[in-house]
Amino acid sequence: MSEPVYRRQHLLYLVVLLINRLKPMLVPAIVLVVVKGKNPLVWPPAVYYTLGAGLALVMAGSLLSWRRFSYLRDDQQLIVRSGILFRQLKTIHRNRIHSIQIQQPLLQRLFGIAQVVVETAGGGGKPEAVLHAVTLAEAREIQLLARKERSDNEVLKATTLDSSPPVAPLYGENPERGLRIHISPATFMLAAVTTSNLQLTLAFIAGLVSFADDILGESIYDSLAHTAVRYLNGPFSVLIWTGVALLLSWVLSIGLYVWKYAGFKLEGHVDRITVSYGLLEKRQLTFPVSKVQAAMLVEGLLRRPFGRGELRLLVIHSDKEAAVMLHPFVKVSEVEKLLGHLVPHIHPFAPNITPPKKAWFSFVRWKLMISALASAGMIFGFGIVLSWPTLLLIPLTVLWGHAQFCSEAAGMEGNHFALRHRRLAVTTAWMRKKHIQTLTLKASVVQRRKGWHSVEAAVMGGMKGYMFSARLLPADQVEQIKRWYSQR
Amino acid sequence: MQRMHPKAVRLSQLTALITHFILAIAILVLSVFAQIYEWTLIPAAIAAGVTLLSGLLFVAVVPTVKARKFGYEVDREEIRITKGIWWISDIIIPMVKVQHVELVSGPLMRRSDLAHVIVVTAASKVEIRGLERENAEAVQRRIALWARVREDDV
Repeated sequence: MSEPVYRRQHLLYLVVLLINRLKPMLVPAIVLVVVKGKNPLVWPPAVYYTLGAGLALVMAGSLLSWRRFSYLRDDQQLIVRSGILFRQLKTIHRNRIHSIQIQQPLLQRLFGIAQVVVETAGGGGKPEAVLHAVTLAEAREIQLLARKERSDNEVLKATTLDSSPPVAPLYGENPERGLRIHISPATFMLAAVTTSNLQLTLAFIAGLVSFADDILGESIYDSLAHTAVRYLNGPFSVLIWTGVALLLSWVLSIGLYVWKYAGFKLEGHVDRITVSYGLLEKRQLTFPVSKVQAAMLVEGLLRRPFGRGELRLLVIHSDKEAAVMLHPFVKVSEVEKLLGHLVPHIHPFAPNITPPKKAWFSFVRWKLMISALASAGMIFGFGIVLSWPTLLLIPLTVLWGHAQFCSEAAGMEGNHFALRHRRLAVTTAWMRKKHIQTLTLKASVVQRRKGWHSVEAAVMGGMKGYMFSARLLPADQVEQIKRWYSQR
Repeated sequence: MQRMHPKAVRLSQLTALITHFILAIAILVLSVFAQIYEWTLIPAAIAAGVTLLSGLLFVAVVPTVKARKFGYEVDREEIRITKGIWWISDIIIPMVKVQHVELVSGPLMRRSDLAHVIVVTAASKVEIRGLERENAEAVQRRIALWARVREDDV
């Protein structure tokens, strides 16, 4: 490690800051020049003087804030000095650091520099310190602070390597540096194609529609709808439209997925894990293994047939995202090995408490009723000739309920707890007893009488925490879970 | 299991009564206007019916059922809370998971000397409702004390 001296950020910080400060003025400028047709050449000179003075002020401010921002790092702490009028000195000790992220927003990426975000427990969701522009090498040096001391590093390494089974060469294991995972382009494409990010795409479509309304105006929209209605009217119109919407949302999901997770890389060390991803905006996140609260495996509808899913970790950090991606397209059969190597304190096992057979109808009932009513409504309104395809909804929803019935499960093994739940995708979560913040047993009055209970476990992750659940399990076994969790 | 204070039941009945009274006045105003301008009286009649029903439900039924199903227990090891009307939840919060305890009371609650205790953990927030102020403060102090005794990692 280099000797501790106060350093300044990269000089390109000035450019980054300048562009970031001018960015909000860009839109009004474009509106003025392009939309309102105001030719900049015929502006009165006063405008130029004001603009020039403003620019000079912003530049002076940037220069000053660059001069006044300095930091010192040694192997124990990070000290940050900042502030132009109000000077601030912040000492962040290694032990308090929860995670250090190396990010490359578009601008920094263009310049080949990086932004470092240091997070601690406090701060109400805001990072403790942000270095906006440092060289990549320097960023990695700072990130080393999130690492534990070398001596206990080796001890830990020895024990985990002894106790865990060797990992398949697929992961490119390197005993010196721990575990590295790099997703091949082909696998990544398969992951992207099988993604289904419905919420995000629905929001996107809604935004698109309102945008189209504003920009294109009603007339184009109307004629488009008119054409569509003329050509797409018939018994299959409902199906065709649903198909088109699904296809569109699927294509969008793929795009968003590639944007977010392209170039996914994972580096696992004994005491910390580093993941990085992003197509244009690179994100790199390093966190200590000890901050991991739970692991969750999400098997999406399209991924289940391939025996794949995405593996996420719930980590204490102040990020918006509660669950950190650990592997976007993991083979379900290899989850145990992977977790055993990276997060040995989480033990993925198959939960064995499942809903009783008598509860089957409870999973199907409401869906059946709603789909039957919807179908009946369509047939009543538009006639059987036009709307008979909606009848297909009924077996589909029954199938969905049945799949849910088959998926729900809970289980405990020693100090480990597992919950499995299905909405569309199957989510299995594993956690330690000591990481469950609250346990809730839930049942309606009728379910209580029949002896079925749902279980919910609140676990910490991100800023708000996360709730895992499993529905309609037999009451006597749920009682066992309660006794297992209770401190009494 | 300890229960809600009977005063809390009366208070939530009173609150429901007040809200429904305001609604009833609004409906009365609507029907007066309807009379003057010769509008149809059907919407006002429907609103009156719905308000009457929900008034009966929220004044006569909901508060007592809620109070009957609600219960809480606090000891050195954990907090247990049972609540709900149709969906009944049993909640267990280990003492070591408690981050902090809040005491909340509105103006009406203060008048009748009542308060809610809110137990906050790193991942959840649970209310113990309708305690007498003195008791609520005692519960808050007790939880704060017992939660502090052992400093466990989260």
